[in-house]
Amino acid sequence: MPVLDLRDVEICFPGLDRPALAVPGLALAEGEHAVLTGPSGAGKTTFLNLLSGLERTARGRVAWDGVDLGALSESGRDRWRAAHVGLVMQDFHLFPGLSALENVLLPQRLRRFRLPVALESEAARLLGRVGILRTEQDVATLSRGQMQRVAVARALLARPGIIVADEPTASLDEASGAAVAELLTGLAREAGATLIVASHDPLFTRPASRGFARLLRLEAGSLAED
Amino acid sequence: MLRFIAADLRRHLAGVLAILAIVALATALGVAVTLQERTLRLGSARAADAFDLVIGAPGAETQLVLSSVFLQAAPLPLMRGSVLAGLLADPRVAWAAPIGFGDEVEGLPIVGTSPALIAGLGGVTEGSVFARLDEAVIGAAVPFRIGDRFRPMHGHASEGGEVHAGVSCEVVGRLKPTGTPWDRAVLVPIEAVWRLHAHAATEHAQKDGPQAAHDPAGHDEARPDEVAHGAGDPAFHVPLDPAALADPGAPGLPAILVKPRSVADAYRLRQSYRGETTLAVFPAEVLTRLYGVLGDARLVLGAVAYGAQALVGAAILIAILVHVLQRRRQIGALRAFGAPRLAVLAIVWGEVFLVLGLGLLAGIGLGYVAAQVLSSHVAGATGVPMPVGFVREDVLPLAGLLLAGALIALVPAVLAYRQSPAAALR
Ligand SMILES: Nc1ncnc2c1ncn2[C@@H]1O[C@H](COP(=O)(O)OP(=O)(O)O)[C@@H](O)[C@H]1O
Ligand SMILES: [Mg+2]
Repeated sequence: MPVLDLRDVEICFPGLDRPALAVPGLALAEGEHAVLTGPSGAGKTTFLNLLSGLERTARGRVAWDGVDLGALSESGRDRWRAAHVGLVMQDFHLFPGLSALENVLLPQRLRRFRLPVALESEAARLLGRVGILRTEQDVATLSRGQMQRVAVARALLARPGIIVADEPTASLDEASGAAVAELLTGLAREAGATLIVASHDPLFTRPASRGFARLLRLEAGSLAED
Repeated sequence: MLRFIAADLRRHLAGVLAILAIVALATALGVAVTLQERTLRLGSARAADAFDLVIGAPGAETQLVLSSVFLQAAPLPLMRGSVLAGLLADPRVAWAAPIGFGDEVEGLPIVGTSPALIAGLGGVTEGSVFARLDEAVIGAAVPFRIGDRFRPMHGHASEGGEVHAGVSCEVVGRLKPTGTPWDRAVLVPIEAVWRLHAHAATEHAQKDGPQAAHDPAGHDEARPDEVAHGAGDPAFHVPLDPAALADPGAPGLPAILVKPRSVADAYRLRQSYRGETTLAVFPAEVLTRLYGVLGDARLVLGAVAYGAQALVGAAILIAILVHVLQRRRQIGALRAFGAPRLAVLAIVWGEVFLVLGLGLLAGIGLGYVAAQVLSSHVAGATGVPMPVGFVREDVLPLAGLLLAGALIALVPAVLAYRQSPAAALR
């Protein structure tokens, strides 16, 4: 049974004469990795937002493990996303003034009255795993590569079954990008999580580095698979 | 959450401090106006408490009250001496005492009166009431000691007054604190004032004309050739003569303080002494009318203060909105990464309310301090103690102000709450 079941999805934005996204169907299995590529403006971000419940569709159905995201309320989708999705964005969305550790913990800290000690040690472990050793350092003083690695640690803290990354290497130099790409795929594999990365970085799209990941191609809102 | 708010505030410290200062100043303005108005009202009402009925010559009521209650020097017209005699014999009068002004010593007003007034103001705490013409009782706040001697200065030193030749008074008692300008006054027997001025007037008669002979409040010109004598004048070293007050032929008086036996007597006395030759006023009534004017001024000031507050409120709301709009991405991101919607609301609300609330509290404190400073200036200038203080009724408007702050903070908070995380992430 596919973990993702997506059917007849269509998203239109006002001012666009064609749908920004029109996907008749897509299924992903548990733990499967997929790379979503396509030119800028093709609808990759829109698609990922749909998968993570940030965007909802008037038409069609997006269901993860049988949970229909379209049937959830806005707060319901927030809750579902917090429990199941780890997000990594092109620009890291870290909070300056807070340390690396605090940034990793922040979304979970806002979810509960008291933070379990186990989460704190898990955050420290993840930061070590992504190579951030000074966990008390203010993120504003980190390099861009380090910032994205903190963001990766944050995405993994709640042990999500789904990891969604939108152009995670696009604003990084090649070496940092490679490190982040490796961490993302490696950590997703370790956790057995389903990974979807939108990118046109060869780091993800080249057959050699892609491994077993499926390559999905978006072109003007329509999906095709290699 | 608090760490997050603190980190954000720290990053925008300059702007936060500016907003805090503006909120504080606007609040302080309103608080100070309210407190100051109340202080003036309470302070002057308290000062007028002991003064039931004041009788003077027809003229300005307000000036009569200001001169007799607040000892604000001003030339008052005089009543005939028989008025006091009549009052002393009146069965509706518990006691009546003359008030004569004009002289001063070291900047303190010298008031000529009778022992009845000293008893009426609460008596002496130290020493005794004057019993001879060259004795004096000092107000509670006068920096003299019992046994000190001084020479009255005719007129006001600032206007080039002169020392009365040969007269030297001894301080024999200290008045109980009254919380009025009388605490800064030096009280001497009215007969002494009469004699002094009769004495001075004969010396100056040729120059000043006959009118000055009966004008204790008149100001003589300085005479450089007049030299103060070293010893006291034996003419003043005599006991008081109570009969002198009751003498219908006594010299004229600018004011008489009257203690009626009852409220009804007070109204009857006022009625019978409002006429061609005398004017009777309740100081409390005159003050109430003055407060009316003061109240109007307060309304205007209050309107200015509230207008300023409204403008400040609007400006701050805009500043905060701009800030929140800039933080849309941050805040939206929080939700995308798993923060609940309510946490976003709470963060923005908490952050804005923290700044507004701190500003309001600081403003309340600042307004209090400003009113204190202003009042101590007023108190210093008038001698009327000015008690600055909050009363229970202040709690409601101040709580209302905080509530308004809480509601204002809700505006950007709701905006952030309704912000779509997908749009915020773009
Ligand atoms: N909120 C929106 N309103 C209007 N148009 C939008 C909106 N979001 C995205 N679009 C449009 O939809 C198309 C797909 O955008 P996006 O998913 O961001 O593409 P990609 O991520 O592949 O670059 C673009 O043409 C973009 O301009
Ligand atoms: Mg995109």
